[in-house]
Amino acid sequence: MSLVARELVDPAFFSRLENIELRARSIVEGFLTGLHRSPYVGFSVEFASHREYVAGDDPRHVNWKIYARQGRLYVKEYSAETNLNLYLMLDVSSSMECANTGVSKRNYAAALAAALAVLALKQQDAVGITLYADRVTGHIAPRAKARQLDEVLKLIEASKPSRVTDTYTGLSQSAELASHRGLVVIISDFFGEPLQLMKKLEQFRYRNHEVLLFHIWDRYERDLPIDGHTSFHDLETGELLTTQAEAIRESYQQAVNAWRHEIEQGCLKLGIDRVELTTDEPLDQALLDYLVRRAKSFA
Amino acid sequence: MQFGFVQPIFFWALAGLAIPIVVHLVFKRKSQRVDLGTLRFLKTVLQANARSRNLKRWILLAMRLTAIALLVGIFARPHLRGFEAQASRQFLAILIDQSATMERRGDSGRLIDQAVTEARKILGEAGDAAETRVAFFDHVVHPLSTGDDVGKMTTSLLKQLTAPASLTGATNFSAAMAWARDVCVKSKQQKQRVVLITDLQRVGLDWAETEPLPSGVQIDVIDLGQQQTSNAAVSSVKIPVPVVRPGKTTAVTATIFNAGPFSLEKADVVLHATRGDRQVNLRQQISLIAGATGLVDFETPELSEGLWRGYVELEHEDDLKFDNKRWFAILVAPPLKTLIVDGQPNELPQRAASYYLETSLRLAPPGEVAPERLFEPTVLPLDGETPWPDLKTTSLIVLANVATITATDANRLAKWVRAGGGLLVFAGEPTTQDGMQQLIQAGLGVGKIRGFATSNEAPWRMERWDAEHPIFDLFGDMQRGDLSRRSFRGISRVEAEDGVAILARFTGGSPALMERSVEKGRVLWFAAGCDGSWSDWPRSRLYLPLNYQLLGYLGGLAEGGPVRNVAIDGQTDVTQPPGIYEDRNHWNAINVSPRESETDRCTLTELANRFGFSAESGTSTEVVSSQTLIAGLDARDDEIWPSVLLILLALILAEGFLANRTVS
Repeated sequence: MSLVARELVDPAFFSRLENIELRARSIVEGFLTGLHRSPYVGFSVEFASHREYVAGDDPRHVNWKIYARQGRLYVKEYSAETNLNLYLMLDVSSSMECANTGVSKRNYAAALAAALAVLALKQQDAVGITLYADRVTGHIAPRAKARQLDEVLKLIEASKPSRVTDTYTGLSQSAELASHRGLVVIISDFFGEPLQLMKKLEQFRYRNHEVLLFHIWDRYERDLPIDGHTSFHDLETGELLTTQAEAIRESYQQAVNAWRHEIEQGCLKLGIDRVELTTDEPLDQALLDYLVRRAKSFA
Repeated sequence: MQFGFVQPIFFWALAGLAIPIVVHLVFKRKSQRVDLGTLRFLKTVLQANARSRNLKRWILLAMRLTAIALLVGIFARPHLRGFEAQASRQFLAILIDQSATMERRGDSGRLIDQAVTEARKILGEAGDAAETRVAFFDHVVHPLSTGDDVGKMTTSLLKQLTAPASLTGATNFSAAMAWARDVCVKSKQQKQRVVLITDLQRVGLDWAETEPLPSGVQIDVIDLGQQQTSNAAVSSVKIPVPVVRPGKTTAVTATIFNAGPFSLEKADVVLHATRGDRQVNLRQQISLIAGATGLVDFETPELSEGLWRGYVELEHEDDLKFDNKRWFAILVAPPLKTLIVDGQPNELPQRAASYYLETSLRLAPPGEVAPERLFEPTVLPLDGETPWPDLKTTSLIVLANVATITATDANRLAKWVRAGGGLLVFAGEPTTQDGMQQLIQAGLGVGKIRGFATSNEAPWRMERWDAEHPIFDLFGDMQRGDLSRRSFRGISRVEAEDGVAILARFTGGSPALMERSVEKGRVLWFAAGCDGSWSDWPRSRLYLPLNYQLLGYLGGLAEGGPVRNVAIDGQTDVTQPPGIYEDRNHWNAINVSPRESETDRCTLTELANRFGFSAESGTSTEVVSSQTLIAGLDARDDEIWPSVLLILLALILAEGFLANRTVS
């Protein structure tokens, strides 16, 4: 039984897939199936060969001359060139372990990173990845070679959460590793001081990178949708705070929104796109945002 | 002005002050845990008002503790003793034992007569200057009216104070002392005295625990009893089966108790029973040593149909006559004739509405009869051709899935129910409001039938039932079957009217079993069919017992059977003297409590210890207890608990207000 595209990008579904490659491919295939009539198909321009038409192929690529001659449908295939360096920066700090809705932010971010890698490599982009917490814990420089996906996925799969006191130092080190101009995609919860974050992001902009932030939230962190006597556990420090959730919800949301607003303003100032995602949302919007930003990087 | 409490024992409930503290602790332990990537936002919020929050928590705890203390205070019933309470009148309460043993002959007539004489004497000495109360007591207390004129209480009491002609009650000192406490606490007089006139029968101590009298009350006990009492009694009469079939014999076993100090030698025990002009007279002999119990077995001759009333009597001269005779009754009757009116007759018997019901009641294959059967079912197919039989000999009628009842049939049924018949209606799919209109108008309905609802996906189940009702007492033990497991894919929606008891409900709250009393008869409506078309219950193991309970209840077989032994003691509200009495659909064999035959006496010290006062001399004692309470006291006019209640309500409101604005 085949799965529809929507199901394939549904976090609840992909979180059940143990193999990250299968997960990433499922997400991307589902996403592309959903996009098969979108303007983002056919990025490459160099003709390579013909193949028989199958359902789902874009009719624009049908070679009508062959059809007129032979009465059979063939579509043109193109080969692409490497045209973008994609730097995936993946936060693996302990705060990413938050999983109140069933999917941890780390798993969600890993699936997103893997899906982006698959999508980019499909388009012959060079993909590299950096895992960071309070320091860089893993790095693969961007390449477009065939085995790059395996290596990227292995690194993502092997990532371990680590407690940190300052995620931005790790981000700073990551910036040092992104030497060639490209698109930097940072996937993190960005918990920290907004001012410091902006300073680190400036480093990327200084190197002429396009920067796209995927801001990952657990819905509980953002909205506090619970009632009753609750002990809140800080995943970074292990600290416990007990309170009546509904009594502080409003103030809590105000504090969160103030912080979000500060980051949003900083990003606007630096010309950085920021996309907020909660772990119970499908990933297709994130992939679409990536493609938009990718197109911008060629502008 | 003094501050006091009517029921200070409730202050034990102050232990409940631990509850808010425990609640606080439990809350701490049982909070849910939520992981967050950071607590920075939470800390921002909580640090802003940490101090005021802490203060509010302490205030909340204090308010909760105060609320519990006030609640306890309300139950303790605080009152203000006004200056008028310093009155100098004497308060005198006299309790006169009128249990059956006071019938015994003393030096000058019956003990009860002596007691009344003593009471009159004491009252006369007190005169109208005293505030006086008088009550007789056996297993309950019977106070005499004091009249409206406060200044002539004694005169009014003296006019009413005469000895009862016959005594049948059981001794209950607890009830007597509870009444004494009640009147003492209610009285505002400082000088209080209680006089107890009794034969000090020990069984009178074996009742519920009570609280001691208020401090300062003087108690005088006037002991009229005698050290040696010669008494032998028939303490029980048992028949092994609830109903004897016509033409059969039965055993009757009498228990003889020799409560006296002397042996019983070859005493005659006679059984006498009558039904109309027919009589049974049997005689046996028994010998018993002092304090022993023995059985005497009688075998009756073959008995004809009807109610046999009788007694077993011990022909023996002793001090107490009331327990030498014990009444019993034997119902001789065939199985209950049960007419099943089948509203959906069918050539295939299994498809008829009455098939399962008749099979379960007959307990035997068609054409055969089970010897132990309780019911004798007959099926009346409601096909418009078969006439109704004469209902005179019919005990029970079941309407099974009947669609329409004519006015003639409905009136005939109503007349029969009013005379004591039991009607069970299974309201299956064909049963509608219009079709049952005549039955409802005849007073045999239970409400409005809203229609037949069906659901294959979510069948209804028996969800709630009155576990105290005789129909359901069998199902209190889940080992005997779980009623809630029976599912019904179709039920009749009935809107019960006022005066109808809903004994069971289906899931969702729709009434399942309803009862209505109609003069001497009863009507039960079951809001589903008794066939297997919309339910699996005819094939379940609970089908037979539930139907037996339903019909047995209507036929008077439940609640102790058609003949019930009733002892005159604190468990009943019997007002008749010993004998056989008809009561709705059963008979009561009323007898004096067998406990009253136990003539052992308690000492004054035992009585004093039991009720919390010290016996210092002969017949007069000083109360040493300092606290008292009594449940069900009448209100004093100086009680202030309503004001305390208002304060408590205000406190609860304030607590709720504050709690909603406080986080821990």
